[in-house]
Amino acid sequence: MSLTPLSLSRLSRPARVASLALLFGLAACGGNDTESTGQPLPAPAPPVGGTPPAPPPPDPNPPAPTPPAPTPPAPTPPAPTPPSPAPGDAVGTDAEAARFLVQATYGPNMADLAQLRSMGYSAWFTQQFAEPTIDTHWDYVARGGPVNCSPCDSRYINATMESFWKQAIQGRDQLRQRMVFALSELFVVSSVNSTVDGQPDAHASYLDMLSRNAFGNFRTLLEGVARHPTMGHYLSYHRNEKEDPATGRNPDENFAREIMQLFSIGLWQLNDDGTRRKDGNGRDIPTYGINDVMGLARVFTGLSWGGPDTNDHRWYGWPDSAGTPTTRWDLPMQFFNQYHSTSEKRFLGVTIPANTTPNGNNDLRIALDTLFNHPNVGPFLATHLIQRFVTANPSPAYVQRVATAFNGEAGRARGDMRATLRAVLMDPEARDASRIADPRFGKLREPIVRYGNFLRAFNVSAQSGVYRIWNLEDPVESIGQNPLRAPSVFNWFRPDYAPSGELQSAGLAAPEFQITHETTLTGYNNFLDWTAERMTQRFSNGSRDFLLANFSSEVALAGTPDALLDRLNLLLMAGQLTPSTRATVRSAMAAMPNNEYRVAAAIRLLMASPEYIVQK
Amino acid sequence: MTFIHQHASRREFLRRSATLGALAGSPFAVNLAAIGNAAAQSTTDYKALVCVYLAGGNDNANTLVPRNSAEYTPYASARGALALPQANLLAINPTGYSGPALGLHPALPRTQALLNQGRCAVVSNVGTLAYPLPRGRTDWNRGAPTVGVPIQLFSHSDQAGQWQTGIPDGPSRTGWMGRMGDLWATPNDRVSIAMSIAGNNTMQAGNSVVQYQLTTRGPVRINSLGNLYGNNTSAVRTLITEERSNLMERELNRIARRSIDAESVVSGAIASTNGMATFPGGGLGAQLRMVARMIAARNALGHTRQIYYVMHGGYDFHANLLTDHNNRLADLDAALAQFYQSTVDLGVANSVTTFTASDFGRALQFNGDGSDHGWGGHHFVIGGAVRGNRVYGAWPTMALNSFDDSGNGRLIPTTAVDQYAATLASWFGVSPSNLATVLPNLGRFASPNLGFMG
Repeated sequence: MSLTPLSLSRLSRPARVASLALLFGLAACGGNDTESTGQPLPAPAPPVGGTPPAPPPPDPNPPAPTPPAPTPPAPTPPAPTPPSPAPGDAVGTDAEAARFLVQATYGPNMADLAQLRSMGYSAWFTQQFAEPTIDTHWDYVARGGPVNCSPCDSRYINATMESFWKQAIQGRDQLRQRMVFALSELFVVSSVNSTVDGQPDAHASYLDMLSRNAFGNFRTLLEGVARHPTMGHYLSYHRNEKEDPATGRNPDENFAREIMQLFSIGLWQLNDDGTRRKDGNGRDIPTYGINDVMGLARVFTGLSWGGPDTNDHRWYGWPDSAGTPTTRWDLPMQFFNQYHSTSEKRFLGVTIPANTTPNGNNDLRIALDTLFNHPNVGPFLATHLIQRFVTANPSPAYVQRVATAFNGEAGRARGDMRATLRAVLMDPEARDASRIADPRFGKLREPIVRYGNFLRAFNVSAQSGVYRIWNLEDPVESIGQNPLRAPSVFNWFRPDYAPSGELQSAGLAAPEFQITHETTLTGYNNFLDWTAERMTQRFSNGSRDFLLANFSSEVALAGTPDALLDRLNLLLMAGQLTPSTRATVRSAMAAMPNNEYRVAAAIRLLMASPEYIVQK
Repeated sequence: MTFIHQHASRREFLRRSATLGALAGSPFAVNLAAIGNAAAQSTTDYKALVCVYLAGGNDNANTLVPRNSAEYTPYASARGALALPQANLLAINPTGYSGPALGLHPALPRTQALLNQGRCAVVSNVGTLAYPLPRGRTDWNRGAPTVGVPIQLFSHSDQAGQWQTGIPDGPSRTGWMGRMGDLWATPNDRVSIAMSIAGNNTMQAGNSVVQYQLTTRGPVRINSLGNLYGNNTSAVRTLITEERSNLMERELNRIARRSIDAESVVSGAIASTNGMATFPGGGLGAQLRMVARMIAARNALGHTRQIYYVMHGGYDFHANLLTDHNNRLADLDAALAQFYQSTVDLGVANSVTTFTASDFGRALQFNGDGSDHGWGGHHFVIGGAVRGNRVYGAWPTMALNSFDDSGNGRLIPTTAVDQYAATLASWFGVSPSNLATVLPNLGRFASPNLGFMG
């Protein structure tokens, strides 16, 4: 039995033309900030009689986007929303829009779909890059709840989790929200086996730092991470002291190792397309060795709490002489040079000579510049972002195009996260709808993203404005994943994980399958039962915090199951609902006693379907 | 009594294949595509091997400590603030052991008792090795050796992976316990013989055996397979079990089929042990309690061999080592002892062997209040079949700049993971001819059997 791909025959004739234009035209839409690249677009293929044309076979070597002519970086006023998308930038169908928003956001609602279709991709990016957050996590925690909360009684670590969900669900800055989550799975901090367990301020400030830097430059982001006290605690280099020859104490190597292995360059030297470079004997080449770790560890000595002075009270986090706390999770760590190493520091081919006056800021600048400029960063980050947003197994050419955007083509600065993200999402491989039928394409939607999709699609909210969502990581009662609670700095899954059997034999990575097994799949299914059923007035306990979904549009359509499923196809299924799943869900809807349960059954079933869980 | 058919591969293959037609569409506990690759084995006696994985890299230097002053002094000097007080060590007196007198971390009194009773053995300074590294070469000091050593030495993910794959000088998707499982798994197994209470892992990944995930409460049932919101419909079952085209969708539904079928067997098989007393030792105790319940259910499951994986997290002691390590070891001690007792109570103490594994042993040298990534480490093997109260493998010099030190007290292993694993595998019944399949590099090391299993 074969999976039926999204059939072009289901689309109206004009939509069909437009979607074909997308198929053929998007190769010209790489990471450009404006549409005025002068790139000619291929003419749309003419529609063919009554028979839908077969989608073109995937091009094994899709052309790299031609870089635009260098333009002087003149400040440009914010572009007004164009009345209609430029050619090639148009979003041909609702299904295309839904597919894009599944990749780029916590999933669409109907207004998002309409907006994207009317403005086109470029304007959408411009709007998303400019869209502010609705709040800061720090303020939420300090306030004890959302803006205008009453009572403001959110406490402990759950205050940060509530704020996470509040922004993920209600933020109009959806691209930023997904980017923050993707970055939180790269620069991992966690409450599990951690000195920042139960510290809502620490996690809130960390999320805000990721959020502020999501669309900035990677160099700034990397320094934001390296100086953040939450990372300092999690990887134990906060108050890491310089070596002491008298006692034999060495600096802690934890962060020095992981900032290289996990946060910037990885273990192996890479080509721009993400494949490993080889030495003269055809062997992989490590990026660093133990001596680089030990050399870099000396850089990360002498960092502790930020503040107006570098006294020992602040170093230790004791209240200052006026009794003011010095444990400032909201400030970047600063160097206490009395604890910073003055020894020679060698790493990655760079030597910082021994000096008599400790200078932590200078050493850190050299270290981070060295990492930032390492040729591995582009393909390393490209692979991570493609895997988080689009597909687990990008072609080398796709990785290379994103790495090229990161590296700073056409006069752009290296490390431009906007150009990088745009390259991830607008790549031909991401946008080509024929990939939907490619049995090797796609990725598992992470449980957190699935739940966010549900909450957004049906505008779930509480009267109080609070998302009183508790820890979701229990694999039996819940979804087996929770923000900021990865088991270790290696995140929930490894980028190259594949389960034994067919996927492994096919040479495919399937990272999210590391947390997908008999237990979590069962837990997720049981979680869906009540999630789809119980967020209604009928089940409300009367609390102002009770989460209510708005199913009114769905209930109104439930009498005509296909109309309801067409809507849910856009809200949940990225426009990829197959006829066989449609038939299965329709039969179950027919067994339900009323429209309310027809809606619950349809949502619950669609969200359990493999074509939902696997994003394509 | 053991009946091992070492040359049964063709017969086994036929036996396995005979049932395939009848089982088409049902969830095998094996990957059919890989059937027939290994020389399968069958047995009528019962054995179980339990891996207790200490995630993060155990601090071996404070787990087992030289307790006489001559050796304690260099230990304490290297450890600085991390040194355990000499007087607090729990003395052990291994049989036939001529190295420095040893003491256990004070949080391990039950382990001490198991050692004294001969139910626990120590294997010292085990680690990942691509080739033997003869002792006494000093040119490795102050910086890791670079030739013929495991790739990406000292990295968590790589060293943990290599402990589990048993292949430290190249990539491998399978683990040595998984490759052991390949030898006994058959399509008749409705529940895989490779069971994890700790999620997916490399250790149990095989070519044909597929690991089965349990919770500490046993398997979980999908509630709405035949009935949704009180109304008869098999829509959930259809959607999550039907065949698909996309490879990831296929895998998802394969997992669902396996989950549904195994649950229908396991829930009944373990029902009679619902009342088994809670184990001490926190999350690890809860995992090992479930292992004990599955061992009790071995006949109902049709298993003559079982391979278990449990995990104890939080061993990455870069900081706060003294407190955190004490807490971890206290849980480990309590859980291991209770688990051993449960195998006695179930009458299978001689058939169940438990062993520890970890990413690496931590560096001897301290970094403040913690210690960094190292290499070799000491491990425990527990069970009725263990030749206990002994220390196996060469005891390393627990001092900086000794000839066992690759730098900063990252000990060069004196025993390879391969040898440790092969000793366990041989006891489990892996035939000499199959050992090379389970541990492909074993031939590089002088002794394929360390002798700690009776």
